[in-house]
Amino acid sequence: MNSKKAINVSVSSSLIDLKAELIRKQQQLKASTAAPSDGRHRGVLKTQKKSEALRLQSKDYQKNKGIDKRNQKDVERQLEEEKNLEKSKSSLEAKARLYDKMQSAALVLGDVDGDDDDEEDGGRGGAVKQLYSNSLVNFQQKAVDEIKERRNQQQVESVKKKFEEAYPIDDGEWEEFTDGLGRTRKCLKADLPSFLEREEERLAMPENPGICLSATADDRLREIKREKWELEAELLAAKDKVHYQDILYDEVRTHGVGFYAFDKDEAKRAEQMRELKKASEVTKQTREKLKKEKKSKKSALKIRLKKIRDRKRAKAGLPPLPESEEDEGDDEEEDNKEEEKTDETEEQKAPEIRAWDVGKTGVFGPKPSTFDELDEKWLKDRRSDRNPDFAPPSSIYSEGGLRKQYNSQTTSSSSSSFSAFSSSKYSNFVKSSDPPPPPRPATSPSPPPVVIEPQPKPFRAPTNFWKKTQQHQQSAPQKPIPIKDEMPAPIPLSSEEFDRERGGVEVAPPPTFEYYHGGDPKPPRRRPPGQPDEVVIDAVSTGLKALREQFESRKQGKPSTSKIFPEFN
Amino acid sequence: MAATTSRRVVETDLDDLANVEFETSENVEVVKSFDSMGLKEDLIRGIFAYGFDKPSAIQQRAIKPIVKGRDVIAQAQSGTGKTATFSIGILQSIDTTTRETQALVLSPTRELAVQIQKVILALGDYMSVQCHACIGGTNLGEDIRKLDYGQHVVSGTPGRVFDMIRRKCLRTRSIKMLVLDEADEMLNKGFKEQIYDVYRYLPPSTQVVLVSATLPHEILEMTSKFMSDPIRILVKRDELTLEGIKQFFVAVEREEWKFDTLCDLYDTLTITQAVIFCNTKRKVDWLAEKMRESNFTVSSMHGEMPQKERDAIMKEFRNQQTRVLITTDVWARGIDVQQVSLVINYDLPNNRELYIHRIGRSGRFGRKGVAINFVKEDDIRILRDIEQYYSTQIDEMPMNVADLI
Repeated sequence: MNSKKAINVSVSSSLIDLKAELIRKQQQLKASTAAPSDGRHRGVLKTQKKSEALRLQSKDYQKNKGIDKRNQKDVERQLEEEKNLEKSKSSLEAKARLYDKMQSAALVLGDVDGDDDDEEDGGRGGAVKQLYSNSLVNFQQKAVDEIKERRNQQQVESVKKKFEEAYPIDDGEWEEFTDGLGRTRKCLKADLPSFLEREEERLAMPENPGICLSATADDRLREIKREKWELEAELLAAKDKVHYQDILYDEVRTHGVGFYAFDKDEAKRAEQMRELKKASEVTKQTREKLKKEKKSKKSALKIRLKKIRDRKRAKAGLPPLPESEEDEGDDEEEDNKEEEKTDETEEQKAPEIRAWDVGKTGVFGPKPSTFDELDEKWLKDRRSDRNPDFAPPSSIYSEGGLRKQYNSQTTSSSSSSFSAFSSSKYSNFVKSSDPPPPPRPATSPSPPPVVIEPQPKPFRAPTNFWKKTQQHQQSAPQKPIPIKDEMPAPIPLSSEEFDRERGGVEVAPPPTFEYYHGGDPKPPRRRPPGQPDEVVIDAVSTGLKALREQFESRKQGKPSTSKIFPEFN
Repeated sequence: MAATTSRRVVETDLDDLANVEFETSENVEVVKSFDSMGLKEDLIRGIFAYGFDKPSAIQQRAIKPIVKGRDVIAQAQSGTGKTATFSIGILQSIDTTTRETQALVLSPTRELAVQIQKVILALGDYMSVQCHACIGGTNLGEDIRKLDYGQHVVSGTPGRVFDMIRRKCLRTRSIKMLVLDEADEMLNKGFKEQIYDVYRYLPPSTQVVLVSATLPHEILEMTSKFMSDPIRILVKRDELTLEGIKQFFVAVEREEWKFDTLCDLYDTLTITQAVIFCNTKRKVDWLAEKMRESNFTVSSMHGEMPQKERDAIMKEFRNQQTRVLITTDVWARGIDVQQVSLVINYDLPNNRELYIHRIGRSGRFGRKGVAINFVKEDDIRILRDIEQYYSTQIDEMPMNVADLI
């Protein structure tokens, strides 16, 4: 009743869960009994034993059928196995004995037939030999090896014995003692007093002056220091000349790199001072020398360069260059300039704006040199008087708004809508007044503007067509041109620039009237066909002609090009 | 003061000056490197060896006029190299071939006088300059002997120096320059008479250099009495606090709680080195004793201790043997220990100038520093006044104050 009720209440899935749980538990148990893990196994065994004992005690315990019989069989088999083992053991022992015998005999035999000549050595000997040669074991070698090994061992043992005789271990000489840290240690009896003394010393002194374990140790250290300083002060009082080192008194202070702690002794100090001055003098001289060498190298290089240039000019039939006197002065100037430069860099470390910083918050790119206060004011005013009507409408960010925006745009002429759009979207950017924007990324290779300028028509044309096609193709509505893609670069452009820059490439070529009315199936082309080919052919032929002329003139030995461009030769 | 016979004194009505606003002199030349200051080679070597490689703002402006022999009033933020400024000026001006005293530096505390001696000896290490610290609390006989030997520069406290002058041990006829370090303190009521006493013995053409981080208006007014047409290099008070020194306060309800707060902060104190300021000597003794009772290692120092003890404590602190120093305003001015990065005002200072000097013990020469003020309810008003006066910021102490040190 109870269980039934429970089932009624529970959902079927929970029942399945329960079942799964049960199976899991069972598997777990199985795994644990089968697991090779030691601890687990032991535990299981224990429980098994326990249960077995319980089983034996229970009244209704009955032996399985045929168990005795099987047991009997096992016992018999075991006996048989034992017998076999005994047999194999005895035979192996016999074999070993035989081998030993043969080995010792082989030694003797080996001695006898050291030479291979006397093979005919009587019947018995021959038979034995036969036996040896038949066997796969090299008894002779084995015997020799054994002897060698025995000898080796003897040798090692004798050395060891000698060593031990020379340096006998005498435990009596070692003494155990407990050191200051409570460790038991051993030392030679003779060393014990010194060790103990050291331990005592260690106990008396704090190990690290920085970590004073007890107040007394701290005080003692302080006393030591104070005594030392007092002594120093006394010495100082006796001295006539007082120097920095005399009154430093172990002060912890960071000095400059060139700091030199002179000796307190006057004579030594003078010596050190002399050395130091000498060293600095040497440094100065070396520096001077290097400078001179550098200069002479530079001038030599200049002379050489001039010679080369003159030679070239001579080849070209020109007179050598006149001697330039300013060169000498140049070096000095350069040096001075360098010095000035280092000074300046130290003085003005204005945060430089790197190319990749432009566009980060608060960084608006380098101001052009012509950007003056008036410009600044103008920019400020422009920023403040921005008409909110020209701000991008909030709807632009929603899906529906995008389409709406797009539709409203289509009613006006496309170019003007672009400019309106750009101004409304970007007029609040500081960069709108920036110098000409950098070239756009090469993702959309735009044809050079020269090609487009004369033919802006196909680009402007779409609006009308677009209107028409919309009326015509209601059944297959055009996908709206994604506006975001039209303005990939955040750099605002004036409408004119924009048109030029865009080059109409990113916008899908607008379908033409002909396209929908089965006219020319070709998409509209930017250039009238035929014309470009002519141009290209013309250009190529002129180029080839020029090349040929050049080549021929060179062949004839006329230095035409080198005459014109002497530097390029 | 009228007795001052110096012909350089410009008699001016004090009432007039009260309304004058002192400003940094025009056309103060800025020299951007030590090399281009035209200093002696040995001096430049000493400057670089001491650890300066580029002159600080005050050094760029004040060294040249001092060397030129002009009277100079030099103000600069704490720990920006004022001592080195006048030391370099002195070392450049003196002639080491004679053994006459040519420059006299006066400072308010003995420790500071010794420190100035040390700086002069360090910077002049390569030019074998002789500089003597002439301070009270030391052996008179030794002082006399040293001065007799001949010292190019004497750095001292007014009392002992005046004593030495009167005894004719310190001959003043060759003195070309008088430097008053911590000039506002030196010209304050406590020292003013002594300074004038010394000044009276100096040759009439003595160049006078005043140096301090704080130069209140009344002090600047006074300068006309003994300086002629001085070059002024001043700092506006809202630029006097250093960016590198962060200032905090801990509000406590009762005085007793300051001690617990200090114990809680002890681990932070010992990160590098710390100075704790109390307003009285008795309180210093009491606080040090109480800290030691609670098993905190501290050292303490004030003006009532014997000079030997004061010396030893200074040496230990400079040696980093002790890390926490409890002291009075004897330590407030000028003392330079590079590793001090934390200052605690256990009591708020008695005037605004002392606040600047106290917190200036940390954050030496461009290093970082932290100042923590313990304030009771009624002290907060004073702190806010200081904050406003220097246009600085004193926030409540954050939990991670240790990270700022």
